[in-house]
Formats: sequence, C-alpha cells, structure tokens
Amino acid sequence: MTGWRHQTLGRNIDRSKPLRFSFDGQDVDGFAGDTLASALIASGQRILGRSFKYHRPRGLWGMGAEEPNAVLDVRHGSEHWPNTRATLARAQDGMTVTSVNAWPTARGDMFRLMDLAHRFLPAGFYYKTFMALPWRFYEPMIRRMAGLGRVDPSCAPRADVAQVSAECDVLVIGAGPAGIAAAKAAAETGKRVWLVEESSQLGGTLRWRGGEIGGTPWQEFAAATREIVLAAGGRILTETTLWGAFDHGSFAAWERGVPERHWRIRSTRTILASGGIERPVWFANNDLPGVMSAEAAFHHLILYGAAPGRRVLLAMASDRGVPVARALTDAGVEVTLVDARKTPVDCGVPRVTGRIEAAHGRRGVDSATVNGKRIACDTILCAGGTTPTLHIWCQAGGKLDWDASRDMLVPRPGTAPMTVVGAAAGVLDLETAVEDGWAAGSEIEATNRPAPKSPPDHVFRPDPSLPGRQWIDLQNDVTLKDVTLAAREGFSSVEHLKRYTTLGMATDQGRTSNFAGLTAMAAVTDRTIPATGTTTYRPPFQPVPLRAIAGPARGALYHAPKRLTLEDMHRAAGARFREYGGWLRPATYGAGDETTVARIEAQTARQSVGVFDASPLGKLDVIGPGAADLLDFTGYVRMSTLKPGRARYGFMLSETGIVYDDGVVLRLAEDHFLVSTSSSHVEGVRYRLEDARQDRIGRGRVFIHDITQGFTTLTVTGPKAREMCRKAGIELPDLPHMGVGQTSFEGSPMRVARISFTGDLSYELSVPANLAHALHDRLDTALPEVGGCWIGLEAVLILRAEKGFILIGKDTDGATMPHDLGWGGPRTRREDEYIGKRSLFTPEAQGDKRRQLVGLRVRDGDAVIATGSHLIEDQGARRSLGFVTSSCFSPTLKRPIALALLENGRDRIGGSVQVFNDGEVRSAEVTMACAFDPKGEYLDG
Amino acid sequence: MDERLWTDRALADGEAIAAAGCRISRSGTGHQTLVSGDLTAAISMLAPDAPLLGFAEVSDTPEQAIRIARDHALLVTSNPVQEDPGWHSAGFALSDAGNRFACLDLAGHGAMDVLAHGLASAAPVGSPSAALYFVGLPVLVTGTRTGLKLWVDQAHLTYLTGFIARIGRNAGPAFDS
Repeated sequence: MTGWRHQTLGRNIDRSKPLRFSFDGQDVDGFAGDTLASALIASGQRILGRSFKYHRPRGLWGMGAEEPNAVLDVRHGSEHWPNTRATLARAQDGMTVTSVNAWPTARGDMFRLMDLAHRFLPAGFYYKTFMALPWRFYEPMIRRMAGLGRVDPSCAPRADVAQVSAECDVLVIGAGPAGIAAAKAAAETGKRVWLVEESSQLGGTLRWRGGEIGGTPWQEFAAATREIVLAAGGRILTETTLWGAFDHGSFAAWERGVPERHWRIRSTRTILASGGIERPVWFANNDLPGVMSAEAAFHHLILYGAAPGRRVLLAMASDRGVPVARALTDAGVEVTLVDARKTPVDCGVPRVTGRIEAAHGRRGVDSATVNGKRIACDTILCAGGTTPTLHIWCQAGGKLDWDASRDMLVPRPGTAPMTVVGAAAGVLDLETAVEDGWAAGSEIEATNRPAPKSPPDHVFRPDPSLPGRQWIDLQNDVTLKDVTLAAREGFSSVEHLKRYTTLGMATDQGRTSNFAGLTAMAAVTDRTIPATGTTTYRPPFQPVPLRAIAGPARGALYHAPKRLTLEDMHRAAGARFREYGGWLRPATYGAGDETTVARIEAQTARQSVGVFDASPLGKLDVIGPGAADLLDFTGYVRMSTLKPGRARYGFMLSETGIVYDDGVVLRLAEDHFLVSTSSSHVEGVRYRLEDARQDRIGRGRVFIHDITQGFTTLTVTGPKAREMCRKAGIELPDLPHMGVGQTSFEGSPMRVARISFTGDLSYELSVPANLAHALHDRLDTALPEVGGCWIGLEAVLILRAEKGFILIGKDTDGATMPHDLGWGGPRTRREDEYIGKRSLFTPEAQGDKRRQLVGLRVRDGDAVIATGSHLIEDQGARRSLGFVTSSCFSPTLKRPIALALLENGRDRIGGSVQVFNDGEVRSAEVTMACAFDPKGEYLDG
Repeated sequence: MDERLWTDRALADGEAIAAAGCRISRSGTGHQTLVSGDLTAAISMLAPDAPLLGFAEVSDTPEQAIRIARDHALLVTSNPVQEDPGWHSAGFALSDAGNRFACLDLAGHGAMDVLAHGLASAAPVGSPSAALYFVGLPVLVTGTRTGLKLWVDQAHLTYLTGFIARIGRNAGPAFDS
C-alpha cells in the first residue's frame, strides 16, 4: 500500500460528503468530487488491472484519456459501463467496480503465470502458432481469452442521449491557458464562441500548477472568460469530449454530464488548444504499479489530495518536473530527482544526475536501479517530455512536422482548417501560449515570439542496450523488443509496425506509445523520424459509447415506419400489425394462428368480399403537356396510348434493363396521369421520374406531385364487391376492368378505380384522409351484410399468388428483366427510346438460360414448399437452376402453390424439377405462374 | 424490436407535449394543394392573399404558400381551391394534396431547440425553401409569432410524436436558457 490521502489538499473533493464503492470486492472510501482513479490512489490500491497479454500487474499511469491501465468495469444500480477509464469516471456511492482481464481479482489474477511464458508470446506469435491442429480446436479458447471486458446483456443502455445540431462562429477545443485566452479574445470581438473542455473545469494544467495570465490569477481570468463568452451568445461545454473532426468545419462532441448530449457542431473558425500528454521514461520493468506520469501525480495531489506514495523518484530532463517535486515535498513526500541532463539546475530538491535503468518489485515498485545503484522507493514518476495532442488536427487532414529543437511532432501550418495554439502547437511556455491563444482568438499575428531554442540537453528514448523488458505500449503489452522484432521480420513501415505489434491500437490510441514506437523504429532502421513517418488518427478521439451516437433511436424510434390513417380502426378490429414495405400494416385480423386466419380471410374474399387498406400504394401525380412523354421514356410499357379514364399495368426498368418497380398508371386527363407505385418504392420512382423530367423532358413541361399520404384507399375485392359498395351507399361509376372514374362521398370527390390485385372484381376507393374514418365506417357496416370481412396483407399475398401476380423484390431479383416475367411485347415492338431499352438486347439479356417466372405444383401432400428452396434437375449434377420466390397454401385450390424463377422456365412447363431445401428433396411439376382463373373470368364478379 | 407489440400513437387534437421550453400541439391544416411551375401565376389564381414562405418565415394570414423548391409549393387555404387538379394553361400544375400534411405547432422560446434535436446540421435560417429533413424525414417549417410550425407527412406523425416526446422526457433543453 503506497498511495494516501493528504489531510488538506484536494480542491475538487468535498470532504463533508464521503462515499464508498467496492473495487474487486474491497471497500474503497472517497469523497464527492473524486474520480475512481483519485479515490483508488488515495486508498492505497496499486494494482488496478492486469496487462492484456502477459497479465502483469498494472497501476495507474495518467490523469485523463491517455490512461492505459486503469480500465475498469463499473456498475451502479441498473447501469453498467464496461471498460471505463478510472481517470474520467466520477466516483459515486454504491458503485461496484471490478478490474478487467483478471480473475478473480487484479491482485490475485489466476493468469499471472502467463508472464513466465513471455519468450514464447512475442508480438505476432499467433501468426506462427496454432497450426498443429485444426483451427476450430483453438478458436473457443482464444475467444474466451481475447478481448477486454464483458458486456452484460441484461443491462440495456439508456436510449436518451439528445442529438443536437449547433453552429458557432469560433470553436475553441480545450480550455487550458491558450484556449481560455483564445475564447476570451474571440468573444471580445463579438463572436459567438463555443469553448469545449474534456474535464469538468476550465484551466487545464493551471488547475494544479497555478499561475497568472496577464498579471491576473488564472481563476479570475477563467471566470471573466466565462462571463464574456456567454454574454456574446456563446457556450461553454465542460465534461465534453470533442471526439471527431469531419468535413466542412463539422465536429462531433459527447457531453457526459446531466443531461447527456451528443453535439454536431459546425463552426466558421476553429482553434485547437488540446494541450499535450506527458511522455513516459523507458527502463526495464517500466510497467510496474507505482510507475506513473509526474504530471498526473501533480494533478491528483492538488485536485484530489491523492498522493501516489511516500518515497518517490522523479525522472526528468527538463525543469517541468521541478514544480511537481516541490509540491510533493511540501505535501510530505520524500522526493529524489533523477535528472538526466548533463547540466541540471539546482532546485532545492535532492537530486541525482543520471538515469533510471530498471524498476524492481513483484507487485509494485519497491526500488529502482539508478546509475547502476539500487535505490529504495515506492513510486517512480516520469517526466519524459511532452507529446502535443494533435488527433483532431490530423483527423481534419493536418500534417505533422518534426521539430528537433523541441523534440516534438508539431502541426504543419496550412494543412488543416484550424489554428493550433498552446502545448498542442509545442508551446510549453505559459506566457507564449497565452499570447498565441490571444492572437488566434483576435485573428492577428502573434508578436514577441521567443527565439528558437537549441535542441534539448537530453531527450528520453527507449534504450535497447538496457537489460530487461521495456514497455512501449502499456495497454497492448508491446515491448521494445517487439519493435526490434518487427523490424527484423521486415515490418519496418510504421503502418506495419502498428499492425504487426498492435502498438497504438488499444483504446488509448497510442497516446503514450506512438512516439516511442516511432522513435524506436527509426533508431532500429537507422532512419530519421520524419522518414519513418506517423500513422493516421481517426475518430473517435477517445472511445464513445454507441448509445451516445444512436441517441433515442431504439425500438419504435429506431426506424420510422409509416403509419396508416386508419390504424386505430384496424387495431379496434383486432388487427395484428407487421411492417410491409416501410409501412405498419395489418397482417391478419383477430386471434388464432396467423397462417390459418390468413387462409380464412383469403377464402372469404374469394367467396364473398374482402376489404383491405391499400393506402400505402404510391400515388404520384404526373401533370403537364410532357407527362405522356415522360412516362413513355421512363416506363417499359407505353402510356401515351392510354385513353383518359383507363389504367394500364407497366414496369419501370433501371438502365441495365432490370425491373425496378411495377404498377398501374391511371390516365385522368390528356395531360394528367396518376402513377401507382409499390409502397416501398414511392420515393425511388419519384426520384427517377424527376431525374428524367429535369434532364430530358424539360422542367416546364411536366411536374410530379407525391400525394400518397393525402388519400386513404380502401380496396373492396370479391364477387360481391359491387353489392357491398351499394349496401355501403357508395354510388359506383360504371367502369370496365382497368377503368377509373369518380363519384361523390360525403360531399367530396372519391376516385374509383377498377383494378384487381386479387383476380376478383375489385374497386379501389380513394378519399382525402380526413374522410377515411367515414369511409371505413360505411364499409364496416356493410361487410356483415354480404358475409365479408376485413382482410390483412397475408390474405392479399395469398390471393395474388394464386393469380401469379408478382411482388417486386420477392418474385424478381437483381437480374430479372421484363421478358423473364412473360412481358416481352414492348421489347420487340417499341421502336422509341426508353430507359433500359438497350440493355434488353445484350447477349446476356438474350441468353437461353435466363431465369423465368413459373409456377410449381407439388404432388406429395399438403406441405408448403419453403420459400428460397433451390430448384435442381431430376437427374445429374446438383446445380441450382433457380429458387422458389413465393409459396403458400391456396385455400381456393386446396393445395400448395408456389412461384419460382427457373432457368429456361417457360420451356420446362409441363415437366418436373426437384425442390431442394435443407437436405430435403421434393418433386414438383412446372406450371404457368397463374394457378387460378387464367382467363380472368372472375374479374367481372 | 417487434413492431407487432407497438402501442405508440400520434399526437391527437387537444393533446400537447412539453419539450425544451416549448409546447407542441396539433394545429389546423386547412385545405392543401400542391402547385408546381409558375408559382406566381398559381398563387395569383388560387390564393392571391397567400404569401410565399421560406424557412421559418412568419405569416399571420390563414392562407399561405409554403415554398418547397424553386418551382414547387404547398398552398394552404381555408376553403378548397376553385380550380380542378391537373395542368393549367397559365403554366402550373395543380394537385389536390388531400390531407397529406399534419401540422405541429411549436410554441415557446425553445422551438428552435426542438428543431436542433432533429437536424443533421444547423438550421437553414434565411433559406427561401421551408423544406428540410428533421430526424431524417422531410418536413416543412414555417414561423408563427410564438414559435414554429412543423408540417409533416401524416404517415410520419406517430414517429415524430414519439421522438419529440422523448426530447421532453429525457434530454432536457438543447440550449440551456
């Protein structure tokens, strides 16, 4: 036990509000305001997890998103957050926190012996093993061991994260000193500034390092910034991770507070002040619990009063470590500086010139080797330098340049549409960072720049001459030896290094490892850092739960199915609903087995009358002097020869000649057509019509109006349809089959079309939606008088299948052309141009092995053929000749029926095929697609 | 997800939802007519007092022409227009839109906030077209003295009711007032 709680330090915690949570079964005490990390340090917990591959003990390293080790499973009440960074999770009373990748606990992990076999488990070992036995022998074991954390299916994530779009004049990312200065300067010019900060407070490192901005205490400056930003109409978001930069100044940000929100922000100008991350120092066993970032230790001490240990070695090569050492000393910690510089500056803290070569200890640091000598300690703090945080810059397309004088990769100006200031730009001096921020916010050139510094006295690099293992990537367990191995095996490109070793591929995204991997590979391959290059940063900046992006889109809100005007009436009649073509429609009515009910409904419609809601069928008004030309060009069947008051069935083809949609076109007047589309294809057909309208026919000659949802259409079908309408008080116009007319209903026009999708006498009655209930009531009252009933889509599908009428996408596939369906007339007769015409005459289109629509009749009982069954020859090689597209039991014919697409189907009519499904083979006769009333005698009732 | 078990429904007349500092209720829709082509001629003939409205533009008149595209608009009138559907020699096409659109009235300072919850990017203030995508669905947005009106396809009303109710229940204001 090394960490402890200082008696007075801890400006973020409220000691009047103690709390308690459990970690791996042990109680941990903390205070309101603590993070899980600070509470765990303060309670002396050192081992917070086990490493990914070797199951080595790991402790806290950092203070934010860069934390590679303290990834925990957190539960609170009914909520569960797997793989949560302890540094970013607020501690709450009653939480249950467990380590991941360890069993039963991090401290007593059963798999810790894996480390003894480390010689056999280097990077990429799995490419060279698991070969002696079939892969399926290894797979279950590997799957159990792989991955990080577990999802609990019983804890459904909340679906309540608001998705909000916003815009601003200036977006400032990061509220450290440079960011605050930039925000204030921009707001003072009247700009609407949005300032986004990942932590809960403004100030960045000033919160623990302290300091003044322009002679003013930083707290006052931050408060003034807040005031002026809000007064100028801007906004400050804290506890918000800006996780992605996208095109055209769009950014995504996840606000983790209450309420939780996901923002899509578009800014006119962007200033990136995302700071930097402290680099590790590399020595043998640098992964032991107790090895920590110096800046993180400073952060936890001042903000939470959580001290990492009692005897600390602080490895550094610049003065940035000095304030850390002083603060720890003032807090009562024994600190020894291990300064790697040749000419270190005396700062009043005990100091050793040299370097740490190894850390020692079994479950945590208990000593270190410095300059060949063993020194007792319980904590090693690393101030290895600073890596600018440039993920957002790179996501926006920005490039990086190597600055040897600062030992950093810095943004290359002009390569991304944002300004970078502060530590993110490699500026660590407070005064300069503030000045740069101010200039960026004011849109002026920065002045008084300090002279370029000479290269640092000493830079930390992984040293292959040191004995022992040095960890480069803590989260993915990648060592320096893995980097040299990769180079030796030819994976010397930085992209190959990443993928071969998995360096930088963990959830910390290589924040503490990418630089070391890059420099190690450069050294091993004798290249410069620029020549070695960097990998690509992609969103998200840090893990974002999918529920934050999905928002409320769950269950009924996941997808917007369209709803019928008469849904309430159908429900009252006992309808069971299902989605068809993007609409929620009645499948059947009443209780009982749905298949049985559907058959009864179909039988009733065949014998008497059935009524169904056909409102979803598309209704596109095509109006203008060019209307006929448009439909002729976009349709396979000519409509210009259709007389007003008549309807005609046709197809719309794609340019490749494939059937896109089918439907009926009604001609209402010389220059007015109504195109009926499949319910799922309304937008698609409208788009295709619009495309041809604008590009070929002429914008002023024809217009398209979608009036689908303005009208309710109820279809009355069956031999008693006419009688039914009369009893309902509907005066039908005298129409032939495929005729359209109008009558009056409740003082408004009602369109009547005699179009049949069932093969029986049918009337489609269309009224404005506000008269839908009145029409429904009239028909509902008349139904019992004729022995009819409401029928759902399942019954309609049976009725149309009996007639061999197709459903696009079910009885057609991505290769079906109209002549495959028996519609070869227009192809041979039309001389004018229409979309898809030329594709109908390719060798492929004219081939003799095309799959054609046929019917199937089984002779071995009443069992329905499974839809999707393959059709094969009676004898010979088992090759698929096609498949069953629709199949059901026909109550009219009292036997199973099916439709299929069969190779050379029409020539096979009268013959037989085998029907193969899931190991079962049946025999079927090939027939015409229409199984009922092929002469259409039932159409007139 | 089993759509067979859904029990959600559309906002009914007389009901209201509170969300993001805003009260959402059903509003009257009048008679709806789609016109395309020479909009000036169409409006002059069919609803001479109707202003042509773009995004969130305010009009107190009961008759309005809500612009959808350059040559396409929705006429909202108190009474049915006197002309028949079809082509008119003045240069426009006319369709009876029936009751294609339902109308939601968003009254309150949070009206734009409610909108912000469903837009993929910032609201198109100043656009001559009132059409945009809200939660991925095409809608028209006009203004009132107290907020906005959302003209939505009837078939989407249930979904949008559920979505807006969710805003009211969970997420708090989009923009803290």
